[in-house]
Amino acid sequence: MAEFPSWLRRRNTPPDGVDPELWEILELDPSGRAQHLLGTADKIQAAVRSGPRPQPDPSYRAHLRASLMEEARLHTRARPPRRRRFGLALGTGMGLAGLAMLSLVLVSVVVLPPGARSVTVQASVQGNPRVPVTQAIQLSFNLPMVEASVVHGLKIDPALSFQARWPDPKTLVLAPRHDLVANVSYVVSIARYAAKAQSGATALSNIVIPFGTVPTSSTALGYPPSLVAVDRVAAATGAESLSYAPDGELLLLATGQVVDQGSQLPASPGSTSATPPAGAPSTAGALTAAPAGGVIYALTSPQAALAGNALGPVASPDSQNLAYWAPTTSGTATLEVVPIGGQGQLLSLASSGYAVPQAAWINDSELIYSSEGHLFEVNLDGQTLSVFPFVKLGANGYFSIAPDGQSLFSEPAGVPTVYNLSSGAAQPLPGLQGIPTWSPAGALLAYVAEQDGHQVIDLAGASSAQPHQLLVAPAGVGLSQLAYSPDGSYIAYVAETPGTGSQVGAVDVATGTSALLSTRTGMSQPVWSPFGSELSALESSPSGASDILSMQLSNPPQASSAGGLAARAIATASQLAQLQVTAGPTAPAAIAGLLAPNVSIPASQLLPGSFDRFYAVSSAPTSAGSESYQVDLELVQDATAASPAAYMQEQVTVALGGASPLIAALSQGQLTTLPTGPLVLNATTSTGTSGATTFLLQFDSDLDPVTVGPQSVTLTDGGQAVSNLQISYQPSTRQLTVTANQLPAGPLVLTVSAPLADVNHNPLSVPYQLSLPAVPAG
Amino acid sequence: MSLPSDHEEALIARAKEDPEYFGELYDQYFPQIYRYVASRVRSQPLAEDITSEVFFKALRALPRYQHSGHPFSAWLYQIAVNAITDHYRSRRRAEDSLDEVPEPVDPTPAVDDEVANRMGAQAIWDLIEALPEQQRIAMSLKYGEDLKLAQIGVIMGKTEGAVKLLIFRGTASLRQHLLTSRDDGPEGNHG
Repeated sequence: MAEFPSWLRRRNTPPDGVDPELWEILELDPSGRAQHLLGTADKIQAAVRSGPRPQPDPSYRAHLRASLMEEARLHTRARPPRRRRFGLALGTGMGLAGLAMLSLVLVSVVVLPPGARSVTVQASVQGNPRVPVTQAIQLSFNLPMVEASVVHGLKIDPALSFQARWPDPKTLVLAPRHDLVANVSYVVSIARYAAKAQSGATALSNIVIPFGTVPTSSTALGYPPSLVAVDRVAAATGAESLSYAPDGELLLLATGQVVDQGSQLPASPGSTSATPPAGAPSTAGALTAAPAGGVIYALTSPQAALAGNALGPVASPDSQNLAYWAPTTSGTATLEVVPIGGQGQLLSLASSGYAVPQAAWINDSELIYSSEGHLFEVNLDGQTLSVFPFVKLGANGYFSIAPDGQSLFSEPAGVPTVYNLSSGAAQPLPGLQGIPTWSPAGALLAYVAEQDGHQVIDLAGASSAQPHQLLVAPAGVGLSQLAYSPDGSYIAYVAETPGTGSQVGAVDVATGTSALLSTRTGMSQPVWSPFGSELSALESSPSGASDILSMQLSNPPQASSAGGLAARAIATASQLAQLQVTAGPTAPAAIAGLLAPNVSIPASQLLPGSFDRFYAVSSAPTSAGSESYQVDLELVQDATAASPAAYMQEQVTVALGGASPLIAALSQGQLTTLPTGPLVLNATTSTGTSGATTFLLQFDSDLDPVTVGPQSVTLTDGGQAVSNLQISYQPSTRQLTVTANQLPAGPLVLTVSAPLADVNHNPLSVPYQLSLPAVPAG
Repeated sequence: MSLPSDHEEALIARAKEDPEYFGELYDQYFPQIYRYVASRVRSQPLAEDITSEVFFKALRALPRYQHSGHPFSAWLYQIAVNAITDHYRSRRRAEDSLDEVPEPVDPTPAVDDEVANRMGAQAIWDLIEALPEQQRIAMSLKYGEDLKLAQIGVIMGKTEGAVKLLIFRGTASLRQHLLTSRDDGPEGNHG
């Protein structure tokens, strides 16, 4: 130490929780500002630990191991043979089993390697924070295991009922009896001595495998928009597609006739039975290979046929003009524009070599279209210009421009790709399947993908290949025809259920909660009105015609009007967050992005380095009309071998309006160890027409049904216990239903407490209580 | 996490005889070595290449490995540090020949320290990358891997005192950069 100056010898006690070695380093500061440097050290530590650490390819680790083993064997073979010491070393805790094995060895002359090796395991879900709720858990051991011992010592927390299967003695598959719960941290643990190999070896320490499930699930309780009324706008034969002009005009493309309340619309100008509009290419003698054009109808009063022999109608931003493609007999198409209001003449602007080309308005007088593998810009005078030469198109010329005009999607050589139209940068999105739908802000692409036999709706950032899973459909249910609501809050979809038919549903982008909007079947082509207050769709009828339905939506959902609970009929609570989460107006698009990690705001900005994941609990404007939003988050630390899982509440204020969202304020609660036993994730209440009051509680664990009953569930009405409660538990959904056959008079308090326990016999450690205020008089 | 010292020593001795035991060492140390390499190079393919190199080198050098009382992981870190350094040196040579202009650092100052921790993570990463090589290595092992000074000394072939000074100088230099960046930042970001 002689080379160091004397001030080095001054030593202060390190502050609580600070690594003494680090403090020793910081105290090297000659001006004694170690405390200031500590702040910098904390930032460095947080940055280094929360920074990007790319995960290896799932098969990489196993491949490298196999390569190493192969090389190791070559080295071993190359060395001169050594005299091998045979023997049997009994592992710790082997005891009588070891003696039994010894006799087996003596009889069957099985030679074991010197010393028992320790047991190690790799899990398919290890450390994955976004495991699908339908996934089985596979554990791969390095040694053949004593199967009964492992299963006996295995525990999953929150409690999960599962079937254990051993495809071979080194592989254990845990198949949950019901879907995992979404948005939950799970820990699979095996006691050290239970992880016993057939050789007698055990693990060196308790095996702990943490993982988390995707934040959303189709089974979650939720608050999608509710259906208020359905209007039949019109009926049509050969209805192909619906779209809205920005001013709210509903446009229909149909190859047949439209009937409005019993009266038939005027003859279609371009239908096979009508005269094409002046200037339009004739369809007479069209080759069967060319796609048949239809008639574009304006359905809002006054109803009118706007164009015939048309494909792919798109209204201009000012709703004055309608562009469409007119297929020609040679298999190409002509880009035409007609005024929506009926005044003015048809313009024939350009032609494309594609049979079904694309076109998009970039302002009120210019369009982008595809032809011969390139993009062109054309104005209403017919002047064309090749644009965006860096964009590559797929064989069919498909492209889709983001609503903000900053990005473009296409599939060059079949690879889904997003181009930044300013920089020309191309971002391949190899996981993207099907035709995506842009979010209104142009930051996200929604698409349907296939995962583990389920169809899912994924969201991908325009500049990120990492998708966020929004919705998992039940097995066998197909999803299609996604449509973003204008404010980005919802995505409407068509769900095709075998035996039922196609229905229209909507999923809340912020929470992932989802529901079918009506029981009507044969639905297709959902489109949102420009202001999001209604959703129009086609409904097919057995006659072959389609009804065009306009569904009026309400959000937040209206409670049942029966009984006195209407004003308080929806209440949710998170026992984990210890706060009430109300079903208020959903967050706008920008916040919706915030709720999805890796999208809009990088997760690293919301997730301190010491936490493994976060969930957004709620978000709301700080005041009416404000561009500042308050977001409540739960930060989760997964369990490790040394510490149990813990969580912390955090409140972040996010300011929008700038080029990118800005975290304007932040406050955190205490780090709290997760309580043991089952947790109530959320709850709803409702009042039926008969006046019965029903509570529905969603648990995170599989409950022991024997513990569910009056001994663990009580309800008081104005302080008086309510008798004759009907209490039931549905294992497949982990939902507890409590029904009281009377109208409440005073404040209601529902209490759930021990002895209610999960299938692992862990009692509810934190009693759950849901309080509802008294119904106001009158 | 390291294995208990006596168990590790026995395992290494057996691994010199039987490749299966090297597999066990690999199982034990792969996660932390990959994590370290990935945190330094921030590219999945590159992290995989360098991690492979580390374990192949370890396998080939294992017969010469002498247990010195330090964890086996310190030796693996040492190989990893050298492999990463080699990679950067070769890349720098290639870049120098192209006379590329380095990317400007774009730190984003924020409303307070806690927010700065989040908003400035990328900027801090960039600043660490700009530090002298030895400081960068020492800081990544201390702040990122939470290793003891003695272990870092073994990995870097330096005394504990020298390691302390490297980390101190790196931290002080980074603090100075952060303060300067904040002063230069756009006003709107101060909140």
